[in-house]
This record gives sequence, C-alpha cells and structure tokens, in this order.
Amino acid sequence: MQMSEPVFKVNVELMAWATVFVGGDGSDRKNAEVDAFSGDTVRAVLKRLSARHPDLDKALWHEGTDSLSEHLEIAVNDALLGIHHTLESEVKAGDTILLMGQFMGG
Amino acid sequence: MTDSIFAYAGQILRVDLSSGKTWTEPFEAEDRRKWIGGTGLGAKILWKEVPPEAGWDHPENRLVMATGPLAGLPVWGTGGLTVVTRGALTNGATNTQANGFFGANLKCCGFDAIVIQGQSPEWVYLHVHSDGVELRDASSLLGKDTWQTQQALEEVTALNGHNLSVYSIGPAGENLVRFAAIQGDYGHVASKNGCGAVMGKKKLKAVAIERGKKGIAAAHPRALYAAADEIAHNLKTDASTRGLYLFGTLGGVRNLYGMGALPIRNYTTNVWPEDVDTKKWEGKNLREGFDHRGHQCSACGMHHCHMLVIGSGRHKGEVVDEPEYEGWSGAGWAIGATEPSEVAWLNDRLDRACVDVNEFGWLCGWVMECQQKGYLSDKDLGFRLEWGDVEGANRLLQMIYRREGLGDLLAEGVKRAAEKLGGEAADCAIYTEIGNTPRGHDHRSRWEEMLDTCTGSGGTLDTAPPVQPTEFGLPARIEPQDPEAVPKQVGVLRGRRTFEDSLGACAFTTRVSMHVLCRSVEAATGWDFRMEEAIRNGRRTAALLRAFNLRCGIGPELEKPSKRYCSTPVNGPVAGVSISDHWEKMLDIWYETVGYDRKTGRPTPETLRSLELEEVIESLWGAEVKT
Repeated sequence: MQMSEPVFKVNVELMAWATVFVGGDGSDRKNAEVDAFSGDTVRAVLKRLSARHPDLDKALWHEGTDSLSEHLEIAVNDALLGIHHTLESEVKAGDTILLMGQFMGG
Repeated sequence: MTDSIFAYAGQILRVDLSSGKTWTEPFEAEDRRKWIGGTGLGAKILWKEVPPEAGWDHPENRLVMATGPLAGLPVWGTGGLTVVTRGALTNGATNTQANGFFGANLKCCGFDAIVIQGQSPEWVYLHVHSDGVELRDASSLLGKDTWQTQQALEEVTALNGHNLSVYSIGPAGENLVRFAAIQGDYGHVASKNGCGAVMGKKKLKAVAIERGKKGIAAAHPRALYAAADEIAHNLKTDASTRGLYLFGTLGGVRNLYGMGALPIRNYTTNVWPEDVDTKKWEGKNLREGFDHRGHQCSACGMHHCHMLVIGSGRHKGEVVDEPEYEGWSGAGWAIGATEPSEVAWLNDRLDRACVDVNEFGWLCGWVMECQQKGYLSDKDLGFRLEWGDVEGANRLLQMIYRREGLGDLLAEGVKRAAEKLGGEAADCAIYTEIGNTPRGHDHRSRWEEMLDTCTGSGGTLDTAPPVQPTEFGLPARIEPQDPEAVPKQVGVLRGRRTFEDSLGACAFTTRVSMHVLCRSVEAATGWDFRMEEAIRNGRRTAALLRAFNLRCGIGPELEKPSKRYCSTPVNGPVAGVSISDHWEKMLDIWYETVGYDRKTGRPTPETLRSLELEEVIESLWGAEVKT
C-alpha cells in the first residue's frame, strides 16, 4: 500500500521531566513536529512519535498495548485530555499536544 | 527480643504523662499479623482506648508514635514514623507520617511503638535509649523552635545525626494551634490534623530516641536483600519514580502546573503570572539552583531529602531543609510567592514553628484574598498582607503561633476561622466540612484526590494517587475528570496506602509493585504473605478508622468540599469543568465500591466480617446484626 503524503504537522511538546523520554535531561522543553494525515487521531500522532523513541513508547503506553500508562499526563491545546479531546479525537493543523510527568507531589 | 520474633522488637512502650509512669507490653504475634504496625496498630489502639467523649484535648486521648516491620532493616526509606491520634482539626482520627531515623532508632531500642496517654502537670520530654526510658524536665526547651530543640537535646546527649532522632513541637504546638505538627530530624514532619496540638496539650515537648543497640533480625536475610534490591531498582528505573529518585518531589511544581493542579493564589487562577521565570521551577533547576547537602533518611538511597543553602537575597547563607513539593506549594504558590529562595526560607520558618504547611498556605492565601477583596481590613489584621508577601506571611505565622490578635482565630484553622468571619469571606476558604484541608494541590483538576480528601478518615488522603493500578485490575490510566472511573479507582485502591503506612517505610519508596513490597514483608517477618492479605489488612485499618470517626460523630453528611474548594476553575487546563454536578453520583459509586452504607457511612456488616472486624459490627450496627 502506498502511503499518502502527510497533509499537516502536529506539534508535540514534552515538558520538563517528560523530555528524558526523548533524550533530554529532564528540564526545559522539547518539541517534535509530527506528520499527520487527514483523519488522524491524537492516538495516531502519539503512536507515530513514540515509534521513534523507545523510552517514550515504554512510558506512554501500558506494556506495549494501545492503552495509556499512568506515567505521563497529556493536554491537547492546553486542556487536559478528556475535556475537549480524547485519544480518538481527530487532530487538526496547528494542534499542540503536551506531554508532562504524572506526579502528584508529597 | 525473643529469638522467634523477626522484623519486630515485640514490645510497645506505654507512657502515662499524668502519673509519670512508663511500662511495656508485648506486641503479640496475633496483633502483629492482623495490624502490621504503624497506622494499623494505631487504629486498633484508638478504637479500643479512646472513647467518644475523650476529645483531642482530653487526657484519655492517645498519641501513638509507631513504626512497622520494615523499619531499621536495609530497605530504602525505612526510618518511618506514623502518628495516630484523635486530632485537633477534625476531632477525629489522624494518620500522618514522617521519616528520618525515628522508626529505626525506636526498633533498636526494643520498641515497635510508643503509646502516650494522660497529660503531664509540667512540660517534659521523653528520652528513650537501649537501657531505659526517662521523662525529663523540658522547661529549658520551652519557646524553642523544633530545630533549636533538636540542637539542645544533641548537646544534652552528646549525640547527633542518626544516633539521635528527635521529634518535637515548636511554639505552635505549645500554644495549641489546631494545625500544629510534630517535626523531627531537621525537616521531617508528621503534619496532619493537629497532632502537634495533641502533643502540646499533653505538655510533651519532644521525644528523643537514641540509636539503640538491640538488633532487628529478618527471617530470611538473603530474600530481604533481594527484595530491597528490587525495590531500589524499580525506583531508579520506573518511568514515574525515576524523577522522584533523582529529584525528590521537586518535579511536582512544573508537572502539576501543566495539569492545572498547582494551586495558585488560593484557587483564584490556574495560570502563573507572566513575569515568573518558569524554568526556575522545574525539578532539575530547583535542585541545581541551590548549594545542597545530602540529608538522607535511614537506609535510603533516593536523592530526595536535602539541606540547601540559600544563595541570594535577604537570607543568603542560611541553611534550610529543601522544601518538598508541598512546601513550594503551601509556602509559595498558594500565597502567590514565586521566588524560590524566599519560599524555601518561609517553609523553614513553618517547620521550625511546627505548623502544617498545607493548612498555613490555605489560611494565608485566604487572608490575602480577603484583604484584596475588602472582606478583611488592615485594621482587622493589624497590617496589609498582599499576594506574595513572604515577610508578611512570616508575620502572620508569628501572630498565629503566639495567638496574638486575629492570629488567635486563625490558629483554629481555615474552616473555623472562615465560619467565624462568615459571608463572602467564608466563600473564599478552602476546606472540607470535616474540618481538614487538602494537600498542596488544586484538586479541581485531580478529582480523585478531592474525593479521597473528603471521604478520608485520617485527616488527609486515605488512598492517595494510584501506584501501578493494573495490579488491582484497574486501567493504567483514567481521565482525571471522569465522574465514574474516578470514584471506582479511589474505591478499588482503598487499603493500599493504609497498608504502606503500617510498614515503617516512606510513602515514596513504597511506590513500587505490591508484589515486591509483599515479598519484602515476607522475607522480613517469615510470614507467607501475599498482596491479597496486604490489601485486606489495609482495608481493615481504613474501616476501623472510619468506625472510630463515626463513633465520634463524624458522619457522611460532612463528606463534602467547601464552596471554593469545589468551585469551577476560570482558566488553565481544566477551565470551565466542575466537579459539583457529579459529586453525589461519585459518592454513590465510591460507597458501593468500598462496601460502606451510603446513608449512614458505616462499613456494612458484610464488609466488616470480610475484614475480620466482627467486634465492630455490634458497635456500629447494634447487637441484632452481629449474627
């Protein structure tokens, strides 16, 4: 099957601790421009990115499944996942997905 | 210790401050297995020995300072102290933890717990060592803060570091501030529900425990080392705990901000001011922004607890305890303070005075908002207190612990002060109707913690955030604002945290697989011990603490957040999302999941039977239900 050309990019931003999963040092931010195709979902974009980063793949998905693990929190366009978007929501050009450490404090 | 006892000292130290008598009693094998230690043991003592008419300030109230089977063994973070008492904020059960060296030292002196009753006619401190126990005159310690108290006792004993663990109260405890804490080993705090006020009412200034000379044997040492190694490995490599291993709880500020769970200016906003250098608040940068000294707890390899040297500003050169996330939150963001060195300094003042940093943050933030909105005048307070004014916050702290002026009312805690002021001022206050306040989060973004805080029986969270929830048959992750999945998760996980709090171990080093934790208990004690028993044990303790509260008149009608606590965020990642519309339904699901009666709040007879709490059935449900 011939893959169609990506039609737009989605920005995935990894913040502070989450940067360690893509080669960062746990501070600042790292941005990844991820190819997206018409009809792509939040899940598809995240799967595409995590396929390039084994540590992120392990942290983001529960034991190799399509279910999210407890390690990372996600926001889409500055709203937590579950409020305006789910994993199955379609992404649009200009969307930003934010990944951050799932940590409660103590 | 007899040869047949593993992991435990096998004795409980009893202290009657009214008579000055001390004695020991055995921690029997049956009780060890049923209650484990820590919170479990404390709950059992509260239930048996503190009648409903004995309020927090009554001589018959008990102050239980307990540890557990892992304390003193070579498992990370096992200097654990659990304080269980009837607390001053809720006048109900209290379950609060601290670390350092207390638990390990106590076990090496031959005790698993200290149970303190009565009220001393004069101020005393308790000195425990391998060869005996003494109540000593504490008059020379009065007025000293907690660090000064520890320093003074180090001079008296000529001991320091891990050779002497000191937990004490500062001026807030002496003056019965209802959110006074018990602070120890320079920066560790059993902070919840006014346990320090209970200690103050008993006129007990400090408990000093030398590193005893008695050994603690593990049943299967090699298996224990293997389990301990696995725990350490998991903490170092797990995607969630690796950050905790490297930077302690410092990462919480940035992460929680991203989730809308960093409480800013008394829940008035979820967006930090534009002039804040947000990079300063990342965990790694907070750590590297200061000169540090290691300050590890007993047997711990985490890079968690540190002393830090303030490098700039008014307090340059001062050595303070590195704040936990809760300190950055309560002494910082909740009151609008955004300069880390200033926040670290204020957090240290709070520890020294021995007040709960969370309650102080909600109280101070509330006063600031009330002043901003004109609900509280400069004359009422005695000065002007603006958002972010750390020096003013310290002035407020002093008014509170001296009970001066308005500080006398504020020393009663947020709920009582808000109810006294009433009107629009009361609408701004963050608290639960039971009388406690949340940890340092904006729970409008973390519904599971709001539900847990409101239904908890120990003066704070009972269940806490999920750790490896799939072990309980739950999804790895749920949406934090899912009104059905959230109460289900909180209910199913009930018992895990209570079990952990019974082990004499730190809540951060137990954030590993339950199976591994149970292997460590099995190796230490020699029991055949599995996750099912651990959870049943935790749920038993949680149910007994609830039964205690119900007997004290604290029922389900109080299980709700204040108006501000459950208000709708106006901005940030959860803007416009409200928990209020779902609250009753969430309670329905939680009650059904935990097996408690929705109307009365009581654990059902079936639940109590399944937890081997038959003796509680008659007390809660009457004799006819028992059979």
